[in-house]
Parts: sequence; structure tokens; C-alpha cells
Amino acid sequence: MSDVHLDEEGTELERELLASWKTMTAPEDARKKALGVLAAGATAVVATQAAVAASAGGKAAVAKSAGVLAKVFGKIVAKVSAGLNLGAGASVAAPVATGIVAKTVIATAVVATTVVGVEVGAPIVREKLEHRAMSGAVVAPRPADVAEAVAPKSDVVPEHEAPPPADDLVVEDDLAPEETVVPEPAVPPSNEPAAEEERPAAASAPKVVVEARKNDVRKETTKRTQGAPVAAAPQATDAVPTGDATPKKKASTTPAASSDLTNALRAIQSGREALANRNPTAAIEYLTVIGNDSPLAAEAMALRFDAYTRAGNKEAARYVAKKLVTSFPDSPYASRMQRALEDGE
Amino acid sequence: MNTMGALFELSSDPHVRAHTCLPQHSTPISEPPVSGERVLRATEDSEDDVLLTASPRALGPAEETRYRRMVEEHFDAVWRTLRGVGIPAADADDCAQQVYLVALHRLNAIEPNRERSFLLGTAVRIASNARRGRRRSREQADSEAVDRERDERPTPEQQSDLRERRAILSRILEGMPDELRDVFVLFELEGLTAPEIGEAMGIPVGTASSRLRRAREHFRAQVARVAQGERR
Repeated sequence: MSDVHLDEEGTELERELLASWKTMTAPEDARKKALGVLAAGATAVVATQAAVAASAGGKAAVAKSAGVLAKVFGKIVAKVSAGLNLGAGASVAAPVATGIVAKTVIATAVVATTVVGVEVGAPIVREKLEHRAMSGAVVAPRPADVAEAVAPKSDVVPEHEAPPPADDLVVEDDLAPEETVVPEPAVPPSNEPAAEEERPAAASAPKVVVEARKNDVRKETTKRTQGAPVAAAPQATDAVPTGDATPKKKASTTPAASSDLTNALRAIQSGREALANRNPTAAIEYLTVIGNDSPLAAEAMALRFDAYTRAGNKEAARYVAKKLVTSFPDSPYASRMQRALEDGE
Repeated sequence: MNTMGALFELSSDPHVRAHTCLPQHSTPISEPPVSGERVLRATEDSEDDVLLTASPRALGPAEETRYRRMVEEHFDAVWRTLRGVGIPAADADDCAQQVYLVALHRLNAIEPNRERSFLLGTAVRIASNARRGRRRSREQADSEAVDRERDERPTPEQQSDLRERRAILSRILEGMPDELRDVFVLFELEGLTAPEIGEAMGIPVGTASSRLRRAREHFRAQVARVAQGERR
């Protein structure tokens, strides 16, 4: 496939149409919604601990306070979210997190009351959830629903339907399906057990292990042989720099990144040779395989600029120069591109 | 305890799913217990499983930072991709959130420097699921939702021109077959390379290339028609 984009080789109208799309940015509230997902986690994990504690202790008192907990956690998560500087994301996360708490509390209530032989209220909450789900609402029980449902009643008739055993409930909470049809994972999520162990409450729960895809077997095996799930398991994210504005180069220690870099270096070399041999078209073909995320993207763009200039395609050269200046303003090539743009005005 | 992130539970209720970008079908999770551990098998439907029963999981500070950066750096691209492959503006934020839910859950499986292709590939897949559930015309997207999308250009004239161009492109994309459009959007609008597209969509690079070639033919033919119309 030709890796030259239409906005380099297309007609003016084609370029304009494509450019019009690229200036579109997402609404801020949608972005905050995605960040809000993060804030839901804190309360969820706390709630999981509560559920485990309840299943272990079998205290009816936990069930009694469940409704209160759900309300309190809702407030806490809002504060935590604010502390995390989530802004409006917190407002999204809080009700969601409250829902998680409430749901977990339902499990808590079921577990706790199973111990004393009485199931309290979970069906009531489920019914309310279903009702709300029918109306397309957020799938989170309101604290009031939970409170009503789990309020201890002395004359509660035991349910005929046997509640699931405590272990199952815990497993359900921890059952995190790892595999998805999303892009092929290059690194198997073998550090999931490590994540599990970060939660003290989940320590007794059965661990979730992902069966790696065929392509991942080698890496999975390597990691397993390393043994320790927490300290020794090299998390993929450990290699990710947190504050660096240009993380790509740091991460090039991974095999895939290193392979990318090697390919990019080859492409750069081939492009240079083609340019030296006065074959700018071939140079462009070589260089356009280098994506904008590549550590060598700026260099590739600079060479493409030279190639387009030599090929007499001033428009494309100008486009590439602009792209380099805007995408990599700190690049050593940027000033040259800027001068070329100014000269061409 | 460190700050943490988590996935919240999503409903398996069909009524709820009909109102979201969740896949419109579900498959029970296979749970063969092996030595006290649960083994989750990677199946074609496993993404559905993730979306159905995503559960909380702790995030370390590095993971949380990474996630935040993924939102900051790539959210616009995810949004544009969703819009480009046919998700109405009114539904795009839900779908975008789904994309990031999957990303959050799969954070450790995403290689460094591949966040963008992962997110965009996931966006295409989630959009595909959403399209399967309901075929909505792009014109049905309410104008209020479209207005929420911001532009970098400031003047009203430029805005108007931009919107006109964008509407033309939107119509052209709408007329493109899904499989061609997905590749076209990822390559021409979001700048993924052919190997990245192949990886993101789970198709051979050759297939991606041939789809792109056909998509370009379609696009150019339509643009030519538009240009003819403008000249008249």
C-alpha cells in the first residue's frame, strides 16, 4: 500500500475535506467522562474489601450498615475525585462509584445474612435496578434503594432461592475477563495477579489467570518462570515514563519498540540513499512507512520535505513542513522548516 | 493505598445494552476451574465478556498516570474516529467511554507507544458493535450534539466553511461500506500505518491495503462529483 496520504498527494478539495475533519476536537464533558471512570475505582476497591470482610465475618451488622455505607462512600468518592483534580469528572464518577458500592453492599448483605439464615432485601434492589435499566438509566442502585432493601427486618421470610455461596460472590467481584477482541495484545496481561494482590481483601479470593493467546505464549511463559507475581513481574506500565513529554524513546527497550526503531532506521537510511541517488519518489515511499508516533518521525518528515522539494511538489513539501513544525516544534529540523515556510510565503 | 482506578460493572440487561454502545449480543463466560484458579479463555466474544462483567481492579500511580495521558493525548482522535466511522455525535461520548473502559482494563497489555493504535482499533470495534445494534443515519445526529464539538478555527466564516467541508466528508464516509470506511478513517484521518491498522483491526496488512485502495477510489470518485457540482 502506498503510505502517502491523500492530504499529501490528493487534490486541493480532497485535502480540504480531510483537513476539515482533523480539526475536530471532542467536547470537554465527553473527555471528563472518560476520566471519571478512573475515579470510580477507589470506592470500588474499598467496597470489595467490605464485601470480603462481610463474607469472612458473616456479621449481620455489616448488612445493617450497608445502606449507610453506600451513601457515605458516594460522598467520599466525590471528595477523593476532587482531590485527584478530576474536576467535572468527579460528578460523573460519584454516582457511578456509589453504584458500585451499593452493588457490592448488596453482595455483602447477601453473604452476611446467609450466615444468619436470612436473606435481606437483595431482590428488592435487583427489582429496582431492572426497573431503572428498563428506562435506560445508569445501572447503579440508589443508596436509598439499598438502604431500604438491606434494612434489617425481624419478620423477613427466608428466600426459597438459595443465595450463592460466599466464595462465588467474591469470585464474581474479582472475575475480570481479561481477553477481548481489541487489537492484538503484544504483552500478555500476566501481571493481573499482581494487581489482584494489591488488594489485601482479595488475597483469599481465587486468582484470575488469563490464558494467553497463541502469539503471547512465549512472553507468558517467560513471565511465569520469573515467579513472583508482584515484585518480580515486570509490569508493562513500569516502562512507561510518567512525566516525560516524549516517552517514545524511553520505551524503546521493549522488543516491539526496538523492532519499530530498527525498521524506522532502515527506512531513514533507504530514504537518504534514494535522495542521494536523485530518486525522490522512492525516498518518499521509503519514508512514509514511518508513523507519526515513531521516534524518528521528525527526521522522516524533514527528509520527506527534501524529497518533495526535489520532486517539485511544493504543496506537499509545504504540508510536511507545517506538520513537522506543529507536531515537533522542538525538533532540530523545525527551524529549517519554519524558514522554508516563510520563504515560500 | 495508592489512588486507584477501576472498571465499574456494566449491565447484561438487554434493555440497557440497547441504549449503549455495548455489543448487542452476549455470550456467557466460560469458567473452567483449574486448580482453584479461574482461566478466562480468549474467544472471539471475549470483548463482549469484558464489557459485560468488567470489575474493579486496582491501579498503581504509574498506571493511573498512563491512563490519564491516554485520555489527554488521544481522546480527540478516539472521538473523531468514532464520528468518522458512523457514530452520531449524541452517542459518541458513550462509545468513547466504552473505549477507555476497555483500555483501562487492558492497560497492562497495551505496549508502550501503541496506545494510539490500540485505542483507535478499539474504537472501530466498538463502533462496529454499536452499528450492528442500530443503523442510524449520521444526519439523525442532533445538531446540538454536533455543536459541542469544538474547532480550532476561530472566525465564523472559517467555522462555516469548515462545517460545510466536514458535512461533505461525512456524507462521503456515510456512503462508504463499513469495512472500507474503517480503514480509510484510520489511515487518512488518523494517520495509522498499514501494519498498525492490520494489528488494530485483526486483518492482514494486505487486506488493509486493498481496502484502503478501494476506499480511496470511492472517496475520490465522490469528491470528483462534489467538485463537479461546485463548478456548476
